[in-house]
Amino acid sequence: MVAVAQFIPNDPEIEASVLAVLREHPELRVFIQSAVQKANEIFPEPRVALDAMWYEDIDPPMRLLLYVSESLIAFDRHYHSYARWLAYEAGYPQELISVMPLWSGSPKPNSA
Amino acid sequence: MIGREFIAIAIQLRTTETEAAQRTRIGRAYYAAFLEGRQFAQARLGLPADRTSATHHSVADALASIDAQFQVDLGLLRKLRNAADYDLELSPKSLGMQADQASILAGSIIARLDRLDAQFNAQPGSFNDPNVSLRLLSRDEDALQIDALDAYFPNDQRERDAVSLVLLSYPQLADIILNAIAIIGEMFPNPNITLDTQAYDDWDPPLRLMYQHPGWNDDSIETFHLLLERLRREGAVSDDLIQIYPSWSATSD
Repeated sequence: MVAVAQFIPNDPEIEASVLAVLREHPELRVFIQSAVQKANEIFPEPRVALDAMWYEDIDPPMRLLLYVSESLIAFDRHYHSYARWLAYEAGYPQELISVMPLWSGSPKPNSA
Repeated sequence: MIGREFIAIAIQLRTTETEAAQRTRIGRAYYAAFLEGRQFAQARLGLPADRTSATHHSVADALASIDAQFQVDLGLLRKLRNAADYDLELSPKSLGMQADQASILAGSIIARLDRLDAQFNAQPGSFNDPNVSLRLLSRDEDALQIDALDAYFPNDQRERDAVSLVLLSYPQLADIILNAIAIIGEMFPNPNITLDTQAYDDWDPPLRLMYQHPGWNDDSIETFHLLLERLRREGAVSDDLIQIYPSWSATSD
């Protein structure tokens, strides 16, 4: 299992917000670990970050951001596998966290 | 108008490299999917008409009764939209990539709703059958058709992404193009076919299929018109989405 702490940004304000949410909802740690593990299985080397950004009162208090660099077509395919897992197997607590796979562009031709 | 018309704007504004345009693309993509979802939920699932903001959630909830992934997808689109509308610190580059993602996600939601709608018309109630809905809701078929076009993609990565964006946003387009390529191949031996997004006017369609073959002669234009006629007759063209563009290289004889 991956340690959730490594995904918390160094910014003290964000760190405090994220830790506050995790203290209030300790069960989120297990979900985050499993969501990251699944993301690592489906997406090529996703970059993972947590934050506590929200825009509407009804938004969940935390976001799990998964930045993925691959071709748009590959991303679309992987996204749908991941979204199906979120929808049917993950026990995704949408009232507590938003999981956001984000396309970060195609890799440059000379990169792996 | 219907919601899906916003997809065209989400694609058209891709080349407008202002931050506001990229933010607008994301909002339009969300509303394309949301409005189509609302139409489906009201027409097919009996969702009551509601003009309050609560309808954003009730539409997602209603669609989730058929497939829980709709809720995940619409939820992500809505969060992308909120970030684009409220978070002024997002970089233009990130916004552009998220706008591409929003457009293809909206396109895939609409394509799945269209398949469900067609199924509803053919056999009302059958999409409650998990075996039927699983097939209709899968993205696999769309992906296979787009894969079949890989040989015609441009080499430049940026342009490949642009072509991918159009094909993924309009999943029905791949089938149309594959038919068109088959017909072109019958009328012009060994054509060199490429796809790109070159456009010269705002009203040009987002994708261009260019076929090049050697040997210009007096019949070339006439043959091209015959080709267009046949493409139209056989439904292998969609004027709003793709233009077929002939290109003759220097005469071979």
